[in-house]
Amino acid sequence: MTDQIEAVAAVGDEVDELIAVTRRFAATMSGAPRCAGAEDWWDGLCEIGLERCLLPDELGGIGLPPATLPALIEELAAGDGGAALAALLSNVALWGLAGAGATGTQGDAHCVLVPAPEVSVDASGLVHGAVPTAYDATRGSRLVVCAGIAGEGGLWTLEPGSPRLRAEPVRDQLGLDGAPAAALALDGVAAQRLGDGTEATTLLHAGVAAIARGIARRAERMALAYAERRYQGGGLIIGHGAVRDMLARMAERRLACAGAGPGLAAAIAARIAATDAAVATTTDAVQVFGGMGYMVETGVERLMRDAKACQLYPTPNWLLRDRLLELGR
Amino acid sequence: MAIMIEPGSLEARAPRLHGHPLLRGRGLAALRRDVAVVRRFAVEEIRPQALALDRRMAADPGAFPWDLVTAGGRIGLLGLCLPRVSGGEADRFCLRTSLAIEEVAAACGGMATVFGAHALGITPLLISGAGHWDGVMRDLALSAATGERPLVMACAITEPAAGTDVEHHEHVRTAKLVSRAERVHGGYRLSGVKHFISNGSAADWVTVILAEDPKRPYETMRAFLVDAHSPGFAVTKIEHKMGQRASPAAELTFTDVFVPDERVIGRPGDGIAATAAVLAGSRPVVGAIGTGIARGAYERLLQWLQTDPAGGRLLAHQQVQLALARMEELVHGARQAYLDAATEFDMVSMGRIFGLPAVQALARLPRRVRANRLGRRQMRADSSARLLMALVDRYVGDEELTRSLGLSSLAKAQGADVAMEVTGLALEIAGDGCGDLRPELQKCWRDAKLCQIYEGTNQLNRLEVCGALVAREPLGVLGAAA
Repeated sequence: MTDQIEAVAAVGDEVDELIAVTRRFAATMSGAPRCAGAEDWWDGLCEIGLERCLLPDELGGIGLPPATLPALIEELAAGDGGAALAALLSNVALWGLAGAGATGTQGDAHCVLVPAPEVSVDASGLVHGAVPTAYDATRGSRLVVCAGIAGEGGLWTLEPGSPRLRAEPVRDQLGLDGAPAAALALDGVAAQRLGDGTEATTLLHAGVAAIARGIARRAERMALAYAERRYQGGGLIIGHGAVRDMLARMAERRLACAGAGPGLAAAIAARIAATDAAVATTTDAVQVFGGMGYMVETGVERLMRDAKACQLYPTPNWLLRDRLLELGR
Repeated sequence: MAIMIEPGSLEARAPRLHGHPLLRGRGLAALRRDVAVVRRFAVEEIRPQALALDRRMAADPGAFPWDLVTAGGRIGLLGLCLPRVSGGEADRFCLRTSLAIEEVAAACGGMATVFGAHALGITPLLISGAGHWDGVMRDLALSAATGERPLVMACAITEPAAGTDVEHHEHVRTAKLVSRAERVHGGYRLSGVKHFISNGSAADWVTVILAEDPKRPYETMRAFLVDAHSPGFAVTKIEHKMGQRASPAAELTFTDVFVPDERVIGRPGDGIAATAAVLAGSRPVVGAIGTGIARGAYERLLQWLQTDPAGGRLLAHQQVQLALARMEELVHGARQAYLDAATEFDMVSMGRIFGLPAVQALARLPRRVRANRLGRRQMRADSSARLLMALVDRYVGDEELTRSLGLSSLAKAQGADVAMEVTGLALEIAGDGCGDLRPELQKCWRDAKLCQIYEGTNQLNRLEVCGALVAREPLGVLGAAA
């Protein structure tokens, strides 16, 4: 039993019920045109409390332990990877703020975590650098920056509305469009330190792994359903070895990437494995659909792009592997 | 670490071209010159527009890149597989076409498919005999040379319920075909739907593969040359695609479209053999598209690593150096695979026919002879197709066609997989901080995926490889005609 499942079991029926609610909510998102009516799904998500479920009751949250978050995020990602990322970034940002006793977590404040491997913070607490892809940042009223590949630069909350922060929408977003991306330029933005960024990074990578698992689950489900109704080669394609092999590998990857253990190293390892698996599964899902899979209307190619975006965010896997080695030494 | 961005000479990339039997005399120099012309066009004209074109076509999939197609026509990209008799330069065309298309694909995968789909539309005419080497094929060559809007071809094979099936000589027996050709006085009437047809919305002429009896496709499939302005022909849908957007994919609906006898291609029952022959010649080109897309991503990455400070820092990592070596290795291997397949097609398989003295003599007949009434009757589809298929039976044979199709399927599957692996790897190496390179690499990666799907899925192609090269089972498709 993984750490996450244990954590979910610990808080009992409440989490089970929330997972069921999230699953039903995610099902309503499946197949919806990306970005269309984005605020509608955000409102729905807030109504359930998914954007702030780690906060205690008194701050308007549900008080779930952090280890339960990936299970909820995975369910959401099975509906829409971008929406799941938006929820993840909101939860980690709020959790970081609340943990440091910072204000700005109440009410309908939309807080967003910005992982920023390349930014630096000077001795005066001013943040410098660039973030090429900051998902959901333009929708956030408060940004929380996690500096460094593994959060070694600390967790910082940026001064809201700083003129030294410029944001440009990313024009050719690869995927996860439910969380529109912006390129941020930080030219000495005043920031308040919230603490060490390790826990936020751990939650982020465990969450990205969960998003990848959710995307892959949806791709697998769609591919299987299509294979059970598509006729080629004298029968349904589910009967052809070539297709069966792709579907079997999807199941194999899903079962091999069931969840992460505790700690940053385990979260990074889970994220690397899950995102690589999601890219493979979604690419195969498009292949099972054949020409139909390449067409936007089918919705499978979107999963392939979402999975690839996860693999690259916020740091590509080959660089994370290097960090994983250092953590284990 | 200094790296070379230029891909090097043709022979440096493909040493096997030294002493290539098709390139004796001045052949290699001519090929080098042709490929250099296409490369210059690709680098100077296509690549700077590729991303903007991709964005424009995403917003308006019904558009067509006429400016680039017209300019490409002027340097011969619309005549890659036209024989000399039709005003082209390609008596043995697969090698030349593949090398040229790799250059285009390195700039834009979608544009490579535009020119490739045009060639795919011509190939059935070409291999069905001299009866079609005048007329439409000559018009195509002339229109490309004028510099005005050229005539464009498409090839329509796939149906909504029959994709992979119609690309395989055995699967076609159980294909759920709906479209059909009905014999009427003076020709045929075509009805039904074809979909995912590259160039379908822009083509002036469409080569349509149809069965006279949809329940017996193996026995009754053949090709028809359809004027896209014919009554009953309609473009009923244009797809929104993940990538390769420069090449629109259309659904074509045929409602009793009349095709006169002189535009029927080949003999009844030749359809399966002709399809196998066409795929033997077209799949190396798809392998070249995959190779080109991979090379395009690789070259873009190299340029960034060389010129950007952030890229320069990455280059110090051995992991990056190993990834670059892997990309070089993959692109090189994929190129050798399609060169082998193209050489086999040109030297041993169908291409060989075009070098035979009898066919060369036919091609040398003065136009006035071919164009007079008697000449036209002699050159009509049935008689010239009979001659060509007799030559195929004698000089090519089922074993050679089988091997050619096997090698071409291998090149296609390998090129497509290499395109996916190299483009994915390039994205990972460059990461998030590569600025304007990122959308270009994303486009290469989106473009690459289609290579694994069209011209038969990679899975089908590998089954073809297993049958042809592992089990060495002859296709048994030659001599099937009535």
